[in-house]
Amino acid sequence: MGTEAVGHSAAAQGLSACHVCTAVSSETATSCKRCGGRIHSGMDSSIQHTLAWLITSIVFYIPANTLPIMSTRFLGKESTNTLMGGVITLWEHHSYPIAIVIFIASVLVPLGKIIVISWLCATVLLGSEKSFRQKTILYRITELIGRWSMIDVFVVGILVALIRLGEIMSIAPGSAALAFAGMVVSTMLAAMAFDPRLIWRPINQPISVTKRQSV
Amino acid sequence: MPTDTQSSTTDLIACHECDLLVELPQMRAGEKALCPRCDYLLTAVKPDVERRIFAFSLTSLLFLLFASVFPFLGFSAKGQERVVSLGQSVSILADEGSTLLAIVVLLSIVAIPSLALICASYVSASLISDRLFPATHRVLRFLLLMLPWSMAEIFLIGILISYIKISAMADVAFGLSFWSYVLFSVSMTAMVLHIDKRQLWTLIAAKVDHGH
Repeated sequence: MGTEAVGHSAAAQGLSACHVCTAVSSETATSCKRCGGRIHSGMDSSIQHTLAWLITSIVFYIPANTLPIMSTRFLGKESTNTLMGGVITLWEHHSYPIAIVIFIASVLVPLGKIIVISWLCATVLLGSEKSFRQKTILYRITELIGRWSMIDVFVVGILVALIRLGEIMSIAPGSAALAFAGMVVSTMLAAMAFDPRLIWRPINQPISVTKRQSV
Repeated sequence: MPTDTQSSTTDLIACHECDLLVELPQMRAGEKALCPRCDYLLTAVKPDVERRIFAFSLTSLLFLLFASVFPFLGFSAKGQERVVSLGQSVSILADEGSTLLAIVVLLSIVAIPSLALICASYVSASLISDRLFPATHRVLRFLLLMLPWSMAEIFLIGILISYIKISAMADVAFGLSFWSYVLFSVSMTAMVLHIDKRQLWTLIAAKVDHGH
């Protein structure tokens, strides 16, 4: 070794970092010598995979928001609630903090995630050459908060398990709950499939051999 | 680590998020390195990492075991009382017609966390022992794959929200299992915070070299 140019893109010099253990290998290597993981630069298929998971999550998003998330049976009367309906009910009962938490975690975060990742894919495909750092930070936040949308699935699970007073009151999960879980999982997979190094590709152009400095 | 030419390649790291090739300086325990271009956390060197991961994994596993045997949550309203264990709440969910939902919940709050903890104790025990255990590489790879899908702390927030929702119309009691689950979650978070890909793989690689 000794020909790597620190301060330049690794891919631009024919080097690739192992996703599992971070060791730097030659791009032509097929497996990592440190951890034995498969090496692939993966950037070319990243956008395709991301878009595939994004479409999946949008497909789940529609039933998750329109179908009932749970149905409540109270003294023989059955009433169903959609996700947004639940938030509105909470708001009407003056439970503002939980209404806000559920609205953010279940409605805003998934929608925001879908929008942010689509936008990032679009800027990559259009070869955008500005605000690399801001876009990277946006991606980081998106990846970090995505799992927290699962809160509502757990809330439904706990309510169903706890509130079972026979004829007086019981709660059953609605079909939106499963769609919602599918949506959260597919947005998480979309965020994982997106390779943030693509954001930097316009300034990670290959450097010529003569420009390489010795380490 | 000795400064022979062979190991010099391990001090190079390409930023996971912006692909900048960075030469890591000699790092001491407690230090971390950020990417100079995008501020991504390249690596953090944790002190006494294998012992701490081992201790936190075993502690978490023990608390998770307690969490599954005692009453988890209690519910009383209109003169009726119910107490459910963690396992019961998952099976009720399956009985209510949503088996898939029950599986998703079971996986994310119990199955994946316990698998991850078993893997973490195996890898850390392997690093503590004189020789690496078989398949340490594969187990660590599997552990890193599992981690994002472990959702114990999110489940706790879910319980908190359910509690606020129900508390207006019924009394909710937190059982011994619930508190065990809280401690399990805290301990597991402490374990996860000690996992640094580069550090763990470097330790394993050093052990492999030593064995030859």
